[in-house]
Amino acid sequence: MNKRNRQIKIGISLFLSAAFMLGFGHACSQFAADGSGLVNSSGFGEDNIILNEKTVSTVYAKQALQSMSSCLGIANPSMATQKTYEDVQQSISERGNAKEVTAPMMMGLTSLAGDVCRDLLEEEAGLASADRQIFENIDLSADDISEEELALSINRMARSCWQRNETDQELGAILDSVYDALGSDAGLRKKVIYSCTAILASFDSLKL
Amino acid sequence: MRKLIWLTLLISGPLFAVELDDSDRGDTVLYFPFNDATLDQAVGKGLNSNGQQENVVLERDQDSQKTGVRADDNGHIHFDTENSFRNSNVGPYLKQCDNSDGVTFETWVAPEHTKDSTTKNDIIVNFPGYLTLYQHYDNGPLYKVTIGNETLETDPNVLKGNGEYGSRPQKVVVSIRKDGLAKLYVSSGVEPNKENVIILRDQANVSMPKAGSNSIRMTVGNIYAPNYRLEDTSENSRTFAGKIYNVAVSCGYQDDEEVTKVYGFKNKIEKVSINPNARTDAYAEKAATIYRRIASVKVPVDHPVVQEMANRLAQGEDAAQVAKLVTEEKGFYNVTLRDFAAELSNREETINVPLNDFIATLIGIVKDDRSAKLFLTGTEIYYGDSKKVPLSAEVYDDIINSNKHYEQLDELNADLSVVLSPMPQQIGKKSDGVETVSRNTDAAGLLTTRAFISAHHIAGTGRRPVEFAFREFLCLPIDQIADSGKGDAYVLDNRIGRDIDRAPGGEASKFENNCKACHVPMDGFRGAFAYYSWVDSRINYSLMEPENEEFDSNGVATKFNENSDMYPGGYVTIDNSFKNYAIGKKNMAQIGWDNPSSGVGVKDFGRQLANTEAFPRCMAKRVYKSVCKREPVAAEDDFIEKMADVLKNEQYNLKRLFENIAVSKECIGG
Repeated sequence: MNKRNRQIKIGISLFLSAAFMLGFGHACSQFAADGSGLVNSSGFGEDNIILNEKTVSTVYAKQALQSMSSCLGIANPSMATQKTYEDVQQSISERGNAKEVTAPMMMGLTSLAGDVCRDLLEEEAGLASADRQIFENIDLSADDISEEELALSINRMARSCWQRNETDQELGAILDSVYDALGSDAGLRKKVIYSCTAILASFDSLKL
Repeated sequence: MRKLIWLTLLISGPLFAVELDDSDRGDTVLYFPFNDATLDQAVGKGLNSNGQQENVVLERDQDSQKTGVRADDNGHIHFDTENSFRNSNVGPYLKQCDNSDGVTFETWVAPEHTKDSTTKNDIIVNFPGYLTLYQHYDNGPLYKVTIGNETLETDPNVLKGNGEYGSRPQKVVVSIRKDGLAKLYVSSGVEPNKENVIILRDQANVSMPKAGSNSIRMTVGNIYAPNYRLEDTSENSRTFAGKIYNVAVSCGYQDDEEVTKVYGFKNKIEKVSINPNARTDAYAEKAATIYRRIASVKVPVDHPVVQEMANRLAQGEDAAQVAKLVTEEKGFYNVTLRDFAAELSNREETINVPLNDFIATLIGIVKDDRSAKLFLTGTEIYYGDSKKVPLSAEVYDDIINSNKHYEQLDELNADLSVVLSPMPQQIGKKSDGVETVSRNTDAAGLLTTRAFISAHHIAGTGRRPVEFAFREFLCLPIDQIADSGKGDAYVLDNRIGRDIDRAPGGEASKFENNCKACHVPMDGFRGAFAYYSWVDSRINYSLMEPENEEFDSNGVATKFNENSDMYPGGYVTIDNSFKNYAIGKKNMAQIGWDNPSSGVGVKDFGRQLANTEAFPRCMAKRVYKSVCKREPVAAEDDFIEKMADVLKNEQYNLKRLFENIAVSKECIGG
C-alpha cells in the first residue's frame, strides 16, 4: 500500500513538474520567440518597452477556459471543469499581462488544462472518428495507445493550441516525459491526458 | 415650458423589448406585435394573395367587458378578466401556407392565472378548425395545442411552479410539417433554477391544417362568457389572465435546430478539421497572431479563417484588409469588445462586471458598423432581441429598474455578435405603484445608460459623470484637464458650486492653487447632468418626475446645491445648462474642441466630446491597449495620431481601428 502511495506521489510530482516545466517554456514552447519577453509587458516603465516588438501576454482569468476549449474544439466543458475554473480563476491574471504571471497562476492553469484534456478525451470518445479534431483514427476504447498514435495526437494538439507544428525536440521531450513519468504500460487515458496537459499548460498555448 | 416637455415625453409612448420584426420573416403571413394595441383594437399585418402586406385588425369582442383588458402598457395586451379580441376571417392569409412545406405558429405569452382547480382550457389564441393554443391548469400542462383532433401539451412537471406563472414571458412555437409531424416548443421562462432556453415539449402526428377557402376566425384571449369570472375557480371558468406580446404565423416548417437555436457563444465552438497540409509558415503564424489578438481566443492554425488570412497575406494583400475577417468572428464581440467596453463602464475600470446596457450598446454600435461618435451622442441602447434569443424583457423591470435582462443574456451565454438589437433609450418612473416608461429626450449614448449613471451619478455632487466622461472617452483624467484659468479671459471660476470651500484650512491660496484648477472645467460642465440622479435602482430624470423629492423646484437634483453654507456666494445650479471652461490654451491643444460652446443637457455635452480631436485619439489608445496588451508610450504618439486619423477617415468605425492597430509593427512587431 505504501509502495503504491509512493508511486502515486512520484507520479503526481513528475506530472506537475513536467507540466510546470513545459508551462514555463523551457522545453517545448517558444518563450523567447516573442522577442520582447517580460520586459515589454504592460505595467513596466517606458524605458523597458522595446518599440516595434510584440508585447508578450497570456490568457487571462475571464477567458482562460474559453481559450483552452476553443483551441481544442470543446463545445461544452464539463461541470467538473467549470468548478475547477471557478476555483483557480482568482489565481489567474486579470488582464494577461506577463508581469502578472505567478507560480500559483501556472499551477491553476495546469490544473485547469488537465480537466479540459479529460473533457476532450470524453467528448471525442463519443464522436465518430472522422468528426474528431484530435483523436481521428485512434481507437479510444482501446486499453493503450501506440507511440505513433500518441505522436499523431500530439501533433494535432500542437497545431490546435500552439498554432504550429511541434519540433522534433519538443515531441521527444513530451514522449520522454510521458513514458518516464507514467511508464510504458500506463494506458491510453493517462498517456493522452498527460501529453495533452503538457501542451495545453505550456506557454505557447497560454500566450495570446 | 416644462409642461410641454413633459407632454412630449409622454406622447412619445412606451416601448417594449419583445418584437417580431416582420422584415426578418419573409414567410410571415400574419403578425400582430401589439405595440399599438388600444382597448378596442389591435392592428397587425397580413400577407395577401398578391404578396402584399395589408393591415389586419383584431377588434375587441363587442360583448366583452372593456375593463377586462389593458392594452396600454409596454406593448402587449394584458387580460385581467374575461375578454377577447377577434377578426372574423383571417383565412385568406393562412391560405398562403396551404402549399408550403409546413406552417409555424409563434407567440410570446406570460400567463398570470395561478389557480389550480379549473378543468377547462383557457384560450390564448384560437383559429377554430385550424389551431388553438390553450392555457390549462388542471394539475396538468400549462400549455396545450389542438390541431384537428390531435393534442400536444407540455409536461406538467416541467412547467408547473409555485405560483411563478407570469413572472417571465414565454415563447411558444408550434411547427407543423407538411407530412403531419407537429412539434410544440416552449421556453422555460418561468422555471426557477433552469436555463432559460426553448425546449421541445411534445410532438404528434396530425393533419397539417389548411385554410382552403374557409372562413377562419381568429381570437386572442379568452372567450367572453358572462357568467364566468376570474375569481371563479369552478369547472366552468374559462378565463385567461396574462399578457400576450405578439402572435405570428409563418409558412414553412421549422426543424429543431431552427426553433431551438440559442445564439450562444461558448457552445458554438466547433471542431476544426486538422489538415497536415495546411499552411504553418510565417504567414500562418502572422495570421494566427492577428486572429488571437483581435478575437482573444485561440483557434487551430488549420482554422479556415486563419488559413484564408495566411493565403491572402502570402499573396501580398494589405494586412488590415485581411484582418477584417477577424472582426467578424464571435470572439471579437464576445471577448475583446466586451472587455474593451466593460472597462469603460464602471468606476473601478474592471473588466469583471456582468453584461450591462453600456457594454451591450457599445458592442451593438460596433457590430452594426455605426459611428463610434454614437458612444457619446446615440439615442439608442442595445438589448437581446427576442427573435434571436429565447428571452424577453419588461423594459421597466428588467432594463430600467434592474440589470436583469443583461444578466440573463449572460446566463444564456448569448452570442453578442448576433442577438443585440437597438431600441430607443428610455427613462422610467414609478408613482403610486404605476410604472411609466418614456423615451429619453436627453439621450447621449453611453453617458445616459443605466450602467454609466449608476456608476457615476450615485450620491456625490454631480461631478463624477463629467470626470469619468473625460477619463473614459477622451483619456484625460481630471488632473490633466485641470486649468485654473489664470491669465485666460475665457476660463472662469463663476460656475464653481457653493459646496466648494474657497479657503480650505483657512488658506485661500490652497483653493486658488489646487482646488480651483479641477473645479473650473468640471463644475463648468456638471450642469449637463443636473436633471439626472440615481435613486432606487434606476435613473431618475426630473422632467419625467417633477414630483420626485430628489429634485428641487427647478428640476435640479438636490445634490447639486447641497452644503451651500460652505461658500454661499458660489454658483447655484438652476437648470441643466453648462459652460465649457476647458478652453484654456492647454486644453484647446490637448482636447481639440470643434467649436466649443455652452450647452444644455447631456446630449450637448456628449456631442461636444464626440467632436473633439481627443476622442478618436483616445479610442486609438484604448484599442492599442486592448490588442497590443500594453499602453502606448510617448514615443508612439505619432502612431496613435495616425490611427486616430484612420478612425476619422473610416467614419468612426471602430472595427477599422482594431484591424489597423492589430496588424501594425508597433503592435505585433515586424
